[in-house]
Amino acid sequence: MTNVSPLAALHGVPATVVGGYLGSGKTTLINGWLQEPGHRNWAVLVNDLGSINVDADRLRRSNGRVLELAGGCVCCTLRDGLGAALKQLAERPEPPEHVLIETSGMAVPRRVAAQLQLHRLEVARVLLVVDLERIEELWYDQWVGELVQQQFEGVDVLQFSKLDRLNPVMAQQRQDWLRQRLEEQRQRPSPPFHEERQLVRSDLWWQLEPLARQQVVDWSEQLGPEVLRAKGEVWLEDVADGPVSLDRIGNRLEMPTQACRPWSAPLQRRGRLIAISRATAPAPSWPATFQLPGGARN
Amino acid sequence: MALAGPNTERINLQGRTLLPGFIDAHGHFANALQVVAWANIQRPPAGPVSDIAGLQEVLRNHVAEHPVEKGEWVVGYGYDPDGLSDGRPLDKADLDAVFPDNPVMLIHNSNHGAVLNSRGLELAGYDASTPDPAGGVIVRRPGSHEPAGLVMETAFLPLFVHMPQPSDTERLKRFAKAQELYSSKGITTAQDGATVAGDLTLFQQAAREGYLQIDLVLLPLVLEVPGMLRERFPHFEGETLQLPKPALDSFGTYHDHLKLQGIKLIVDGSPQGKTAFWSEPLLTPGPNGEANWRGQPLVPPEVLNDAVVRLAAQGVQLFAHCNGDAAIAMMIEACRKAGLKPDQDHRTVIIHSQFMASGQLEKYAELGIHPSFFTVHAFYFGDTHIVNLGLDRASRMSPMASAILLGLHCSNHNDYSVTPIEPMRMVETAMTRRSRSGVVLGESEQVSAETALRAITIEAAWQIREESSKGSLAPGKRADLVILDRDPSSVADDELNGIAVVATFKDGQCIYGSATGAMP
Repeated sequence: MTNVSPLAALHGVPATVVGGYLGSGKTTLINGWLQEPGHRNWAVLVNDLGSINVDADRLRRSNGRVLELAGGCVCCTLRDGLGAALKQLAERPEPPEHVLIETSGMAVPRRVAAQLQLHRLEVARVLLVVDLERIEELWYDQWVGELVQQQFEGVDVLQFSKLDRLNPVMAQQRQDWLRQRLEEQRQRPSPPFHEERQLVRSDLWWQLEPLARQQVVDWSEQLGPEVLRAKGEVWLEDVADGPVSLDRIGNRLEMPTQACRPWSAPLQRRGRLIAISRATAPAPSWPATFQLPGGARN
Repeated sequence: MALAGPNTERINLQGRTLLPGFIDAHGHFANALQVVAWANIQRPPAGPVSDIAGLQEVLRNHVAEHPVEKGEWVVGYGYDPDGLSDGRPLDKADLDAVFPDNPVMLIHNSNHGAVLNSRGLELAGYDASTPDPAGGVIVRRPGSHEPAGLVMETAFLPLFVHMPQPSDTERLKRFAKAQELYSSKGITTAQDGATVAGDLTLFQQAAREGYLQIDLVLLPLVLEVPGMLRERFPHFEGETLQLPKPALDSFGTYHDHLKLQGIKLIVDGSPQGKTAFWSEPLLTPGPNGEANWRGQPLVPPEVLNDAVVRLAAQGVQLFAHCNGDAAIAMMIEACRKAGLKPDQDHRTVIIHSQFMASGQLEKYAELGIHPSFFTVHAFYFGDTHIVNLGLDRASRMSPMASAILLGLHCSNHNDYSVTPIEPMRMVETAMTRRSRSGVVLGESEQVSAETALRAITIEAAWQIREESSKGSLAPGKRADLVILDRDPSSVADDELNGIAVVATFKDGQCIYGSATGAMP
């Protein structure tokens, strides 16, 4: 027996986390999207309040109305449901191209994403499905209000559902209201909003050579509005000791001057960016290859 | 003695104390099947470790008894840095010295972290470049990014994937040893208080094949019920949480020492992990550094209400895990909505009932809900609760005296493997409510030795509807008995946890020790 992680087959496999309070419409969104032929080799893990069941049949049957209660904390059960489900996936002859996690309505999606990262999957996007019709009422609910607010933490994009149940004026008001609440709470731009009835697209780029900081800034500035968010770690010429984190929300780019962590090994330097775009957008450009508006290749 | 006949054996206990066999009011027997294969590295009195050299020795002995192949995990449980006399915590190098080729995982006594050696860290993929995950920590060596060995909370969770999963055949072999953990402490009825589908199948096989010596009570986790039904009744089509008649009929009766008693709901997390659900914020930040943190429910009220209505309507007894007063309020509300009343004798139990708000016990009485308390929290986590909640709120934990004044049936539990199986520590903490550092949490809730003993005998029997056959010494009851070397009602408080079990009997058969007092 050699020292190989049982999840080795999933290392680097992209993962999407879809969160949202109970009844927000996660399942509907995911079901529609699974029917696309391009997603045939995707695996879907459904977390019904704590227990993960890879049975896709259940996903269809449950239809957002699952009546099962939580699995409790690891110290009582001595098991980790997410890890166990990933292990089953890793043991399949063909590892999935992409893993999609539908979290429980009570989960904070960012935390699920953190667990996936520790298992060394590549988190491609963390989405929160928001039912605009109910969000205001849930936000102040005496039992779950704080949780509902917390679910917005660290989310890449907000994916709205049930917009058709509100008239356009009302829908706009709700969005403005939500943006205000989120900005009050975080003192920073709220995650971008996405209203199409499909999941946003997500593209991944590996950077194998260092770049000048300005090159990355220029690239960020020319991205169109169809790119809702770009994030990851870049390898910059002026920072030797590790990658620099990058997060672009709207037109605002955050790219500190310091490395966010040391390199794992001197020979394993590389950057990694994820661009999250509208469902119908084409593949985005990347810092090493984009064309400046003047046409000169940078 | 009126019942004595010619074949009756008479034993002179020579001043020792005979009590009814203890009943595990809440715990996780399935965990015992894991833990018996792990090295016990707890500090005294629960284990043998008081320094790093001693810990290494325990691990060496453990692998001599449970040989491992190169590359296989060595697992220990109960690591407590405060119990080491070396003046420093364990470092991965201490473990590398003993196991250069095997990954090692020593689970922290909180069960929320572990110390790994270099091989273990490598397998987990943790090195100097790994950032600490939100809500977790990879402890580093001083002045460096290099992991020291200890990983906690969310950094610990991914390790369960690496943990060796014993086969069912292997687990069956462990039943004898797992039951001895209980019988050696005088327990004759154990509980698996959150049974998952795979374990139900194993327990049923174990019972059928005669592996059970003590009684085992199962509370299937509600979340797992649909899976259990699909497996056993593939053609049954009912409404959500509707149980087919044969499934309903299988509750409440032992078959080969195995009984399903009710269904387990989980409403919140744990107070020491700050994942319980309170109505007021803690004095300290939440598990991820949140300000004004009061925890969260694990289940939305509408789901809980629906489950309680549906299950109660089918006559299923409910056992709900609630630690914080807000979680308790949610369950009270669900019971009220379901129309539960004491005269229905539904015996709904709120497991832990830990941090109750004033007025909630009265609502228990009104609706016929009864508490299973967790008083050993005073000892294991009392000092932590005082920091997080302040002495006043912390002192409201497990209010046993108040509950008894209201006529409620109160049991007490160890919640094994959250805390060790220690019936005498339950008695001690119900009587003293004293923390490890000596602070008393809520003097007015202290109870007598007799009350403390009732909570782990007759009242625990009542909560699983076995008060007519177990839980007291009376003609016609089962001869489930324990002999203690001293009488808990006559020793000093600080000697209670040192009382030893001389012998344990199940249905009249000695299953641990010896009635004549020859020490086991």
